Amino acid sequence: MDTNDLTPELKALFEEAVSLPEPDLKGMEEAHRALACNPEVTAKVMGGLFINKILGQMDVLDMSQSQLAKSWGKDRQYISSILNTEKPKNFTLKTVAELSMKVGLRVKLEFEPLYTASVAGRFLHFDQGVSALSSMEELFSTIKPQKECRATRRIQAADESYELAA
Amino acid sequence: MKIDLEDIPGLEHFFSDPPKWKVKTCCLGGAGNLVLKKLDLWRNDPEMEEEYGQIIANIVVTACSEKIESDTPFVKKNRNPENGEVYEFRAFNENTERAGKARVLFFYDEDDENLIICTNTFEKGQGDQNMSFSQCAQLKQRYFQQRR
Repeated sequence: MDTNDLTPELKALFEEAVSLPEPDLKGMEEAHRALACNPEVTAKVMGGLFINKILGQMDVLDMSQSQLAKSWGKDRQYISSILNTEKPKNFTLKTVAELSMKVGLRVKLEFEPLYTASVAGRFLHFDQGVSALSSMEELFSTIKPQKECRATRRIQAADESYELAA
Repeated sequence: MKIDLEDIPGLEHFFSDPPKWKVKTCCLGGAGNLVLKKLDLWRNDPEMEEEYGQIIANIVVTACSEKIESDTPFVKKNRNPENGEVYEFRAFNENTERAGKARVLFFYDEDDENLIICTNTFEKGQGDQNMSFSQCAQLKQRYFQQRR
């Protein structure tokens, strides 16, 4: 690979670059699959989306943080602690509703099944956490149709009801 | 040096609908991918694992949000006008209660489809942050030259 046309800065980057081996890529995919089902990470994502929406709406309204503080009856430091710091926040629903309304928005809650057909093929939530299953066959080998088992717990997958074998 | 784009493996599990921005990483001239390499190192480092999760969450948030025009708690825009519009994802360290060390630098491509392109990384306390932004800006310039 010809690197003669690169600046010293890019050459330094180029020398550090390596291709990740397939097992590491696979490991990363599994890690992200697990993170996507992690409630703590999901809360951080929801909090982040909320803050980005509020900041974007303030831009649209040309509203400063001081103006928001004044109209909300809060001090400027409180607003700054919500909107400017990297620390993840655990907003109450009341704060979410109030802050949204202060920038002229109403919150709409939407839900969707955690396990779509493709996801259900690989993940189930048990009491001890998320258990990764390697394939749809493995999923169904752990579940027996309702009639056949003494059940402990019911799950829904692919529009059918199953119970785990005791 | 050709720049190819690669996905972050498994990021699609966060999205039930297509995000506003597709997230890609730069593969440099077939030599390798700095972003995936560093993400993998952070993922496997117990001290950085928490920050790694936050960086991924921040990437997901930014992929689902409007283009960042000014700083947010998760993304900072580079202040050096010579570098143009380049940004960094940041994390928060819950142990020190301060901004974390992990950073992933990126730029937006709004030409054909909306892309967030992650170019390189920076770890606070190691290396030069200004140089990392400059490297990001140079890769951005090469990427758009290559597109023409």
